[in-house]
Amino acid sequence: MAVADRPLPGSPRLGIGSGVVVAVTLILVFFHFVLRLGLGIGAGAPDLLTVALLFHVRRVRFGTAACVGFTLGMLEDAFALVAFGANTVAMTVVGILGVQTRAFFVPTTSLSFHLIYFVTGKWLRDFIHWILQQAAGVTSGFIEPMILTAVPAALYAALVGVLVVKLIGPFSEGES
Amino acid sequence: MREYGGAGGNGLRTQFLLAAACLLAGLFLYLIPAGPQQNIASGIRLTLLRPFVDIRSALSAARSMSREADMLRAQVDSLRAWVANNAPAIEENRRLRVLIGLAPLVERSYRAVSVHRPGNLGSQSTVVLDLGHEQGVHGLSPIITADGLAGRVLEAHPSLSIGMDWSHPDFRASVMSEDGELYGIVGPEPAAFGGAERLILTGIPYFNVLEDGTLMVTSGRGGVYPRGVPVGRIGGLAEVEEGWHRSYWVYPTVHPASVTHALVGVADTAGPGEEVDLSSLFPRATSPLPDSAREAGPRGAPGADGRG
Repeated sequence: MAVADRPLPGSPRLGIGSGVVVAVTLILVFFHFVLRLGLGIGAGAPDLLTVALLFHVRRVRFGTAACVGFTLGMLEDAFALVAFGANTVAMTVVGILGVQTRAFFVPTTSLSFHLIYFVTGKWLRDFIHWILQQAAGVTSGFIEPMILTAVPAALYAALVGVLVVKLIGPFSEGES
Repeated sequence: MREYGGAGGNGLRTQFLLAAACLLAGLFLYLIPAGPQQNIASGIRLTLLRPFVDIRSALSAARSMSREADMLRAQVDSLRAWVANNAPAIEENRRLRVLIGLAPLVERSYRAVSVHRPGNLGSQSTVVLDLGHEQGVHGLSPIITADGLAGRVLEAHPSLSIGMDWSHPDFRASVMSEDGELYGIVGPEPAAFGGAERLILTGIPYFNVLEDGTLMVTSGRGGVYPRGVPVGRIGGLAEVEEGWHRSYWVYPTVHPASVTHALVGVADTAGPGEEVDLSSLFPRATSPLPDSAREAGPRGAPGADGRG
């Protein structure tokens, strides 16, 4: 480990290896499609794809985060007959914004930070998707999809996200 | 831990270009026409996501074999009795048609399919069928359940098909009242807050009135959907244009989320312009007005006062 990478004395040891990050991301993506597509649980399963994206992008630069978001969004869009590309755009934007949170929030092991991070990320992803669906002509109200459905879904995803962070390890200490 | 994903002298510029390229590519995918979009989606579905679809098909088959065997046996017995009872009438009909010089009845073949719903965000109207063009399914095959019309196939791959249910914004069907007097077109209408999803029937002449609860069935016009398949029941006046036409809410007989098995049209023997009649397969007593329609009441049929 380079001297610059060593945690400061007394500070919590933050961060896990990039191999572990990639492995956890792939596992979350795998289980997302197993639960939603393979077992057909649908909204009963948490949005592990967004959790994987938000978990991953805290450890990469924003160009890489955009690529990860783009790829995961394309996978999610594969079964969209209407507004194809909406998930791709939404997850790319969320990936880029997720990286930017490092500039405003110092690395932390705080539970509330993780909770807010995952809730906001998931809700924002649903919101962007909703806007693009509206633009594509799929009209629906705001309250039902974005409040009654998206908020519980965001909380559900955040609970899983926090659990993953607690199990795997906190976010990386930061910029190189 | 050092972040991976590139660093270096001009790393920031590279990262910016990469992010911009991804964002623009995403917007490009969103804005291109539906044809190329679905070509890309098909590629992903048939490669990366195919194993997950196969898991679903295998589970569905296993579930059918274990839990639904008794129900299927009962249905087969009922069908056998129905065929036995109607065989003389069918034979009589065939002879009469020959005697008066009519062409033989046009028949369309069907196959039983398992229907899966992906459950991904944005795939609400999508259904996946476990049969494809190798089994005779084609791009316009109707998807029919015991309760009525569920939707139609959009893409047929070798052993897998992608279809849409009636809630898809592009869904349209030519329908008629059960007595064949009134014809119109139904299309989906987004649900009002807290309400049920429903269809809207347009094109009914102003001086013709449809009573609540009237069953609307496919008319067979257009050649996509066979004639006589229930679509839904009238659930109130939606819109009226004075002296011109009326529109009605139609509460579908099929709830897409509950469809797990269906029939899909295959190896269509009907020629262009010929109609297939399936009226006799759907007893008149089936498919009552859904509870959601009754509960909705005046709220469920906005514009019932004629103001739209």
